[in-house]
Amino acid sequence: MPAGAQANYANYQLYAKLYPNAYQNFTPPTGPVKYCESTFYLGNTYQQGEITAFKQMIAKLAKDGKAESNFIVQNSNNSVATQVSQLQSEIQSGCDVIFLNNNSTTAFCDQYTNAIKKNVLVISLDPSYCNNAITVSFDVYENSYQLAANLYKGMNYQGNLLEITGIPGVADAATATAAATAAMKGHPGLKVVGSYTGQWTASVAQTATAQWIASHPGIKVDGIIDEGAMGVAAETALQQAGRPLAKVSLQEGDCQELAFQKQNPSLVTYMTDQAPAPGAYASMNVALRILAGQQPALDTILYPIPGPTAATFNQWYTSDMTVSSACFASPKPALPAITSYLGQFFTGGTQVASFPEPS
Amino acid sequence: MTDSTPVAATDGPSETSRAARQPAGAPNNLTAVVAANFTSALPYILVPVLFILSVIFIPGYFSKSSIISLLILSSLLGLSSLGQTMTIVAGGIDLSIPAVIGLSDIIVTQLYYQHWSLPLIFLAIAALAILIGTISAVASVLLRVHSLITTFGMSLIVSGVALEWSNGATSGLVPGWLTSSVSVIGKTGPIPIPAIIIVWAVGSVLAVLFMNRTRIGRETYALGANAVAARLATVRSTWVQVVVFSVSALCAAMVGIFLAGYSGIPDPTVGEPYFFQTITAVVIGGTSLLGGRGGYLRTVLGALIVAELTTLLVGVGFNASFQELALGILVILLTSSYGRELKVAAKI
Repeated sequence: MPAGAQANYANYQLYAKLYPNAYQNFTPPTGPVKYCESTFYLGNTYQQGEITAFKQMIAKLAKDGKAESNFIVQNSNNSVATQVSQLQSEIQSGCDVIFLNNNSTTAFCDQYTNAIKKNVLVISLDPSYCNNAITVSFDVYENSYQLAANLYKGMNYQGNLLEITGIPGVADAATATAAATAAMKGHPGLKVVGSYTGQWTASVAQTATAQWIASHPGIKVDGIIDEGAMGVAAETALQQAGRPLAKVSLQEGDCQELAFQKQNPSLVTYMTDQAPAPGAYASMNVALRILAGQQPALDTILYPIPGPTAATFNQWYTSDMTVSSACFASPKPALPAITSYLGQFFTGGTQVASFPEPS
Repeated sequence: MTDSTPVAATDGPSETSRAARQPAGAPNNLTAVVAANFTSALPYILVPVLFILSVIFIPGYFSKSSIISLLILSSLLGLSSLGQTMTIVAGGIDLSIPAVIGLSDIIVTQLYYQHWSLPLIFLAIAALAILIGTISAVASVLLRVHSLITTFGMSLIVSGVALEWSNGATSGLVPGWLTSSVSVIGKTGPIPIPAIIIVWAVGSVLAVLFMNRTRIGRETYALGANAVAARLATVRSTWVQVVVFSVSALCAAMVGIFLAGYSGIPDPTVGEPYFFQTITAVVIGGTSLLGGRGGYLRTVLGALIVAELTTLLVGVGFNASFQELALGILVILLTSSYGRELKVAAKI
């Protein structure tokens, strides 16, 4: 593991495993590359955003004759079995590179092996417990820990918390909850007064928060533990109920979060930009390096999540963003650092002339 | 056909009358009457009982903000279940409601963001909803397949359109009054009640009158009770289906608009929780999934029961899994008691 990357692997062993790179014998295809995507839920705005970013980058590659313009996308609608068969069909149908959003850490192991045999490069954007795929992601535990720790610090380690969790049963959701709980240790002044799922969906989180408020009329909320894309929705529910807004750490880096931060700078204790476009860019960056013959030592490449600071906030925020915006900020401020960071993982091969950027 | 031609069994009272017509002195007569009355009255009993339980177990629950909040959540469910009730009474079901809610949410947030006028947006959404409902109904009639299939197909089509339209990188905006209309602190003119509750109340009265006092309403019951007999009785089957599925899509579109105001963002998946909840509200209220029996007043009670039970369980600390467990048990208990009655067609 490169020395400059070790901090981003501090807690990864808590929810996934590391293996050596299994693509040592991968032979890059000649001619335009056929890119495909297998996603588990296209209804999710985040996954839609990733696909949009991939489409934009592939269009640029196709213009230079380096990719086929037809980008195949398959959606399994949260069915693991369906996604396994879809991944299999993509491997069989001549895809050279497959980007994978998976919601199971173990279900795809056989297909990863199958892909290696067929000389197909599978880049997983989510953690897995098996070898034979290249995972490009970030340390979910560390990110969640930092978000929670900064929230608690912003509350002076005193007050009532609402905890809004992701989709029950999904590894990332459990990891985020574990990290938020761990960050609370040693601070008895903090109390979780409500914990419920918002399923990483703003409207669900808002309805659940409204129900919680209705059933807890006398309890003040001082902070919101947002475990992904639900913090502003919970704040909206508080506002619509005539309650004071609470402190929150935000991690999605989308337009509504940036607008909320702009309007309520004293309430947002920490912010990261876990947006889809930087993730898609990092995955494409790794794919292009491997296609150029470069090789990483590990099968799992973790990158630090970028995020706006007080000094760089205006690089992300634009004046047309509102708390009703469902867009993502431009990823461009984050991209040079990602390219530079990923370079340390690779050896051999040829240099990639340029990495296309999402628009 | 005259206005009074197709009349079918409608609601609980007819069941009571049947039991009461048993020969006097029969040992099971009184039991049958009591059972029929109790079954029919269950939703009416559960609404106040659950409210009283909430007041007992949740400190400070008896407050204006809590009650308004409960009514907002009930209104969203109640309005989305209005059309579902009609389709079920007509012997069908509408699985496209969540997709239409999502599409409507996307349209209103994005077109308003692009400075379209609101009346034009609402007209466009209404026209689209009627088109969706009409296609579902006509497809059922022409292809001779149950609406379960056609509305499921329509759901996939509409979801696809919503996803393609939103494309994951969109901005949206809603007018302030729309947000206020679903806000606990919102007002309707001088009345300190958010508009959605008033819309639901007015819509409920109109729906009950429509189903009980109009020819098309009575034809809806006749069609659901026995489709073959209804056709022989010259009930306008195709027209009835076009109307009920259009009303269903219109109600779903209206909920999509309100949900846009509620969450403020374009979200094609915003309607997903209503997939089972609308059916749950209809069934808990006592409308038969077999068609021909029930009514919207019962669904109003069903929506209130679902919202009250969920709020009560959240208040006493049950998580989402236990909430679903409790709702599941309630659905089974209630439908097992309603389900003991024969399908209307079997009684004629």
